[in-house]
Amino acid sequence: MSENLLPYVFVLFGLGLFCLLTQRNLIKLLVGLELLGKATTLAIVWSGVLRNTPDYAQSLALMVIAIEVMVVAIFLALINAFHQKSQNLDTDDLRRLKG
Amino acid sequence: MTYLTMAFLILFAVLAILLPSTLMSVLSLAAVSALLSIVFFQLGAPVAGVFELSVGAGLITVLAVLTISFIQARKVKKQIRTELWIVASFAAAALFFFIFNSLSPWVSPSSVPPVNWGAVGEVLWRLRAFDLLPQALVILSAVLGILVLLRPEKVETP
Amino acid sequence: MSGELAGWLMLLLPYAGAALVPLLNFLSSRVVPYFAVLVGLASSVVAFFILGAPNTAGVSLNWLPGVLKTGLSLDVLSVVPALIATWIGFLVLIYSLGYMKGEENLSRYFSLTLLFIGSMVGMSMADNFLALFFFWEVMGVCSYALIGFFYKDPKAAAAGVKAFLTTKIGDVGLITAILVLYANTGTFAIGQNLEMAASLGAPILGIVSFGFIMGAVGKSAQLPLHVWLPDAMEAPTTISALIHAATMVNAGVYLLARVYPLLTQAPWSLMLVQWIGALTALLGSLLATFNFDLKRILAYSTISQLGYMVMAVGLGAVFASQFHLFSHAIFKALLFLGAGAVVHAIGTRDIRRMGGLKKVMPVVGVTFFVGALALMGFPMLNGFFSKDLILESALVDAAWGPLIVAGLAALLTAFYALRTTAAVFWGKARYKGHPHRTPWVMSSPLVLLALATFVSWLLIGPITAAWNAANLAAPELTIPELLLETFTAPAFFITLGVIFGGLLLFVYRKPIGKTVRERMPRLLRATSAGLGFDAVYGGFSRLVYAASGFVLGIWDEKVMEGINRVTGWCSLRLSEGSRALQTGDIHWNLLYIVLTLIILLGIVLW
Repeated sequence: MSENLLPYVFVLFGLGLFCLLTQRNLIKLLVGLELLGKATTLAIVWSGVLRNTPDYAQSLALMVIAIEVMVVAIFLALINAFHQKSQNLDTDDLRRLKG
Repeated sequence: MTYLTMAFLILFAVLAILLPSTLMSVLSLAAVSALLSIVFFQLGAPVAGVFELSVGAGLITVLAVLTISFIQARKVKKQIRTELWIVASFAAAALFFFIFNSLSPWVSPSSVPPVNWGAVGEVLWRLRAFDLLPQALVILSAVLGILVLLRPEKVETP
Repeated sequence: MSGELAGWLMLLLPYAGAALVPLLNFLSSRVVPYFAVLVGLASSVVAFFILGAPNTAGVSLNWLPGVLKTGLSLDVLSVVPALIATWIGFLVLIYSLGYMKGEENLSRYFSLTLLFIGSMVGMSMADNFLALFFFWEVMGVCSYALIGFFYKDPKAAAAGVKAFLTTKIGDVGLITAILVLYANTGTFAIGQNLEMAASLGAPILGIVSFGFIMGAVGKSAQLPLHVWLPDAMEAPTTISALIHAATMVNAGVYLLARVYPLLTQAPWSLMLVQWIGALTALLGSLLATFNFDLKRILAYSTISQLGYMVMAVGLGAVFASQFHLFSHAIFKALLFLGAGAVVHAIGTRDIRRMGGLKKVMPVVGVTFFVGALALMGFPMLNGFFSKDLILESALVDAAWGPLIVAGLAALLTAFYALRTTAAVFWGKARYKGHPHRTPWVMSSPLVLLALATFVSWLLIGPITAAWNAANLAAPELTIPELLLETFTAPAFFITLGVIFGGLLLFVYRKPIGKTVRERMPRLLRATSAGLGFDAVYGGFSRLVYAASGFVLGIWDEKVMEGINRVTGWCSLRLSEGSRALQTGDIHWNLLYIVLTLIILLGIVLW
C-alpha cells in the first residue's frame, strides 16, 4: 500500500480547476466543483493510509462527502432558479456583478 | 492495481469535462465517483468507500440528472445521436465489468477483511463530536435554502 | 404633625401634584386648575405645622451611601423662603383660576407652576449643595418654560431663552463654587462646609465666594445680570408674580444669606455684595422712574428691592435681608396681582393709556395703593420696618457709600410708586373701551395680601426668637421694642425724609419732568433703553456669534471641505481603478480565488 497517489490528486484537482475556469455551462461548473471535492477526499483518505490512522481519515472523509452533497444540492437549486429566470445555463448571462 | 483505477478515473474526469452533453458529463462524473470508491476500498478505507459510492455516485448523480431533466423538459428537446448512445453503452458496460471485477475479492465472505465500523463511529462520535453538531446545522440550513430556492416563482415567470 | 413630616410634605406635595396634573388632564381638563389649587391649599396648610417647630434639626437620608447624603434642614433661615413660596404660590394659583381662564395648555401651566413652587421649597430646605443646585436648576427650567408660556409670541419665547441663558451665567459660578468646595472639603453638606470655611485658604475662599455671588447675582437679577427680569414680563402676570415674590429671585438672596458665614471669611466679598446691592437698588429705581410699561416698572422695582436685600447681606444684616424678603414677597405679590387685574381688564400695559381706574375697580385700586405705600416704606406697613432695618444697619456699620446710594434709591422708589398709582388709578380716564370686571377669585387674594401687608411685621417677635434659638445672629426684638427702636433710631428720620422727598418730587413732578425733558433728553432716552445693558450684551453676543461663525466658516470651507474633497477624489480614483477587476464574469472571480489560494499556500510552504 505504498503507491504514490499525490500526482493523481494534483491531476484531479487541476482538472477541476481547469473545468471551473474554462467551462461556461453551469452544470459543467458543478462537475468541476465535484472533481475538486473528490481530489480533496482522496487526499484525506490517502494521508490517513500513509499515517496509519485510517479510521480518523475516514471519519473526516465522511464529513467532506456530506458537505459536498449539500453544496451540490444548493448548487443545483441555484441552477434551477437561474434557469427559471433566464431559460439557459450560460454563465455569460450571470453578469450582474459587473462593476 | 490502484494506478490502473486511477488512470480510468482521470480518463472519466477528462470525459466529464469535455463531453458536450451535460447529461453525459454528469454520468461520467458518477463513473469517477464509483472509481474513487474502488480506490478507497483498495486503500483499505471501506467506510469512506461505501459512502462515496452511495452518496457521490448515487445521490449526487440522481439529483443532477433530475435537475437536468427538469430543465430540459422545459426546453426544446435535443435529439441525441444514436452513435453516441452506442459508445456510451459500451463504455458503461466496460465500466461495470471493471467495477465488478475489482470488487470480486470482497464478494466472497471469506476474503473480506474485517471492516472496523465501530472504530470509525468511535472517532466520529467521540473525537469529532464537536464539529458534528455544526455540520448537522449546516445540512439543516442547506435544506432550508434549497426549499427557498425551489419555491415556484409565479410572478416573475412569464 | 412633626416638623420633619411637614417639611417632606411641603416638598413632595407640589412635586406629586406636578406629576399628577398631566395624568389628570387625560381624564378631564376642566378639573386640572381646581386640583392644582387643592394641592396648593394642602401644602400651605401643611406649612402651618412647620411654624411650630422651625428649628428641627432635619433629616438626612443616604441617597448614595458614602457619596451623597442629603435631606432637609429646617432652620428658620430655610423655612421662611419655603413658607413664602408655599403661601404666595397658593394665592397665585387661586388667582390663576380667573386670570388663565380660557387659555390653552392649562395642564402644562399648572404642572410647571407646582413644580416651580416645589423646587423653591426644596431649594431652601436642602441641606446639601448638590440638592440645592438640583432644585436651583429645576427652577431655572421652570422659569424658562413659564416665561415663554405663550410660546407662539416670539417675544415671549425670546424672553424665556434670555432668562434661561442669563441665569445660566450665574449658575456656572455656582456650580464652580460647589465643586471647588467639594474638592477641598470632601463633602457637599452645607453645614459642614460652612464650618470648615475658616480653614480654607484665601485663594480658594475667594473663588468660592465669588462663585456664590455670581450665582446669586444671576438668579436675583442683580447689577450686571439684571437684564432678564424686565423681559420676563412677557410671561403671564401670575408667573411674574410668582417669580418676583415667591420663587425665582428670592433664591439668590437666600443663597447669599445661607453662605453668609463663608462670605465673612473673605471681607472683600462682603464689600462687593454691598456695592452690588446698593447700585442695583439705585439702578432699578431709576429705570422704574422713567418707564411707562406697568409690568416693567414693577420688574425694575423688584430689582431695586432685591438690591436692598443683597446689600443687607453684605452689611451683615442677614436677618434684615430675610425680613425684607418676607415683606417684599407680600407687597410685590400684591402689586403684581393688582397689575395683572388691570392688564386683564383693559388689555394694555402702557400706563399712559390708563388712569381713573379707581372708579371701575375700587378693590384693586385700594389694594394696589396699599402695596405701593408698603413699597415706598410708609410707616406702619411691613415694607417700612424691613427697609428701616436695612438702612439702620448701614448706618450702624458706617457704610456711608452704600447708605447714600440706597437713600437715593429709596427717594426715587417713593416717587415712582406714587407716580405709578396716580397714573393708573387716579386722574382722568385715558383708556378705551369697557374694562372687564374683576372676578372674585382674582380680587380675594388681593384683599388677603393687603391685609397681610398691614400685619406681617407683627411676626417679628416669634421670628427673631427663632433666629436666636438657631444661634443665628439677629437682634432679639419684641414688637414694642421694635416700635420703640424704629421710631427713635436715626434711620427712621432717613426713611421719613426719603418718603417726604418722594412726595415733594411727586407734587412737583410736572416742572421737574419738564426740566428733565428739556435739559437732559439724553438721560431720558438712555433710561428708556434700559441704560444700554441690553444693547451692550446683544452687541457682545452678536460679536461672539459673528467671530465664531467666521472661524467656523474658514474651518468648514477650507479645512473640512478640503479633507472631504481629497478623500472623495481618492476613493473615486480607487473605485474607478478597481472597476476593471469586476468583470461580473464568475470565472474571473474563480481565478482570483485560485491565485489567492496559491499565494496563501506559498506563504505556508515558505
